[in-house]
Amino acid sequence: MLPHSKKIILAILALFLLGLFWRFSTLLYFPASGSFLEKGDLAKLHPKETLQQNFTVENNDLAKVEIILRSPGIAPGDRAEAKLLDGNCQKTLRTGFLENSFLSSNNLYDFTFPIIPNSKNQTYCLALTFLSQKSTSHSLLFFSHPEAGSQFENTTTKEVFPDQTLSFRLVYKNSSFWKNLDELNQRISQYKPLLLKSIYLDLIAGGFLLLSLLLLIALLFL
Amino acid sequence: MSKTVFMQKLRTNPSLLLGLILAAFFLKEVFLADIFPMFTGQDEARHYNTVQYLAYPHVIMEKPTAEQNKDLLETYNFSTEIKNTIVAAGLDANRDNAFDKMNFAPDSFIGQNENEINGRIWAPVNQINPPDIAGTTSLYHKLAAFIEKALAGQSILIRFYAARIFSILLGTLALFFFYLIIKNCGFVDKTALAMTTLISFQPRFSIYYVSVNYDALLILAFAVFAWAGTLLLKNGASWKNLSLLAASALLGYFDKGTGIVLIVIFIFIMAWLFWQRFSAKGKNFQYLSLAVFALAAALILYAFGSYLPLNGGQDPLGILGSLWQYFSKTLTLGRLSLTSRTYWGSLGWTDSALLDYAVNFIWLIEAAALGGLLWFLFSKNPPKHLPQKKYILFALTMVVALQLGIRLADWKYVAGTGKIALGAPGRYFIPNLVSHIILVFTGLGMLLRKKEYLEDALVLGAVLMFSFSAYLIFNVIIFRFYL
Repeated sequence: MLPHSKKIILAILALFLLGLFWRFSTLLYFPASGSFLEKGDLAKLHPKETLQQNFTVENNDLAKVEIILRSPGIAPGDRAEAKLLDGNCQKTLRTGFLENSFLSSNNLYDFTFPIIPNSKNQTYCLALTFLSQKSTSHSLLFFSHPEAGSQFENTTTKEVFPDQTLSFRLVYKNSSFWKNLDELNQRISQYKPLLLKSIYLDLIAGGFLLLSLLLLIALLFL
Repeated sequence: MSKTVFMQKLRTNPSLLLGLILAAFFLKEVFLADIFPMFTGQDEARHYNTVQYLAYPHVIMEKPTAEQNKDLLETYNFSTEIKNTIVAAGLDANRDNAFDKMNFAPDSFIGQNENEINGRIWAPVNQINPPDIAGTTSLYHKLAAFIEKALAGQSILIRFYAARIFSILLGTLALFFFYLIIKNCGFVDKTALAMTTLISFQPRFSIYYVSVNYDALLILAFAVFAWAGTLLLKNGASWKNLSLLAASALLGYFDKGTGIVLIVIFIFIMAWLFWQRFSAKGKNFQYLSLAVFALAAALILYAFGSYLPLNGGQDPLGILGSLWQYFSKTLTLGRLSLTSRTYWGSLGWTDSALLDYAVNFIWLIEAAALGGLLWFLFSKNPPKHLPQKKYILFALTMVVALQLGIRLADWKYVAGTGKIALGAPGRYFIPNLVSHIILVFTGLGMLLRKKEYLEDALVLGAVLMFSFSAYLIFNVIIFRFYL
């Protein structure tokens, strides 16, 4: 019979493991490859104004848009509403707010939404509205950079920025946890020797977790 | 084999559990080495370039073509192969903004330019003068260069990760010596095994041992030295102990300048042994012993002299002023807490207070342990399951000596440049991790009194340290580089 103290330690281990892997599963989003967030020009967005831009998606399972703002970003208490609309910027498909990224990075914001399964080759419209709660709020500063064929517009002032794109990045998430793990394995495997890739990587990760848990449990029962 | 029989085997044969600790540590380290992209370790590109510099001829020296940009490793004066690999794999994406990711090939286990890298079309030769290297005398680099040469026909991916695995093997060996130190201090088997497990999950120790860096051998030298010192205290002076002490001190010294700390402690130990042996034999011997002490002190001063900001003989007031300036710049609450946070492996890559809370909790435990340790040192009758005071004083000496060595080097730099460039990052103190943990758990053991309580505290500590480490691996490091 295991003493109470050891039962408590075992429960703590189980609890931490659950929390750890739950958090891990929530982080499994994949930013589009080769898409860099450039800090170029600045696009001002005053309270109650909206910036809008069309874009075409390269893959299925679009799940998030990451946007970079110039410091100081969105002040506490203020909010920026984000909408994903159809290609004509008419029908709202997903809606939410820009939230601070989990990544400790200067003013990276996430617009996370339920996965759009058949997003490949579809054109969507991103609309960002600054909902300022404070009378002292000035404006949000979005980064933009030149990109031929793209344009964005301040729909409130009707100002159009031709051959410019807002600095944002599309992020995907697979439909199952295992597919996400497989994609993560692919990313980690790149530029690694054969014995640190693919199935070997699975074996190493699994072996480390299994032996570590076996070790902790053996210590408890010793 | 039934569960009871297996547990019985574990109880009677601690080496089985020790084997499990070392195997789990080795696999964890290989996994960590795998998830850190190339050259993301501390000064890792420079250390690997040093290995290549020593392994291959480097006779053709050209002037640099581009100005060095600290965010672009490709602009450093590395070998042609390293510079081109950095560009081909897009490794500079890991240098600046945390949100930048490498350019991953979709649906593939092979990177876009991986075949080009494996084709070995670039020479692993340093052609730019001056080369970016970390000296040419470190034993670690020489040993790694031997491996590099043995694998010269292979891709840089194989050679680079082989160098990382060489570091991991040194780390596994260091962990083995940690166990021997703890065991020989007087902790019983279960306590020693639990403490070794806890150390094996210490995040900074784990992260540090997966990169190409000469500290991998330095930490091992400290471990062997502490083990030999513990044996000397346990069994008395013998040629075996003294040779081990001298050899490990030299190993540390020939690996990295910090190893001089071991030479200083060695000289001190020799003087102490001389005093013990001869001081009771009459006045003449006492004088002789005092002379030996004075000689030892002079040698120590000479050894540390190069670390002092004397620059042609400053007056004592000038030195005091310089020291005061250094203390006021560096011994602030913010800097000390940063040192401690980085020592425990807190990485500032995510917007989460969780890691800060974890380190705050560790500080709370350490504060309680400090109280217990003071009580232990002044207690006439400490619990029998704790080490004798001489071992604890030795562990304290190791900690204080390394602190002094690092602070002196840092002081010299600040006095010379007026800038806090080196600082005292937590990783500098990792060579004394085992001494630190022994001190903490001796203090806690004093407070908890009963052996069973200390054992439970250690197992709980191991569980918490595993959780801390696993959180960093899965939710911080992987997230930073791949998600």
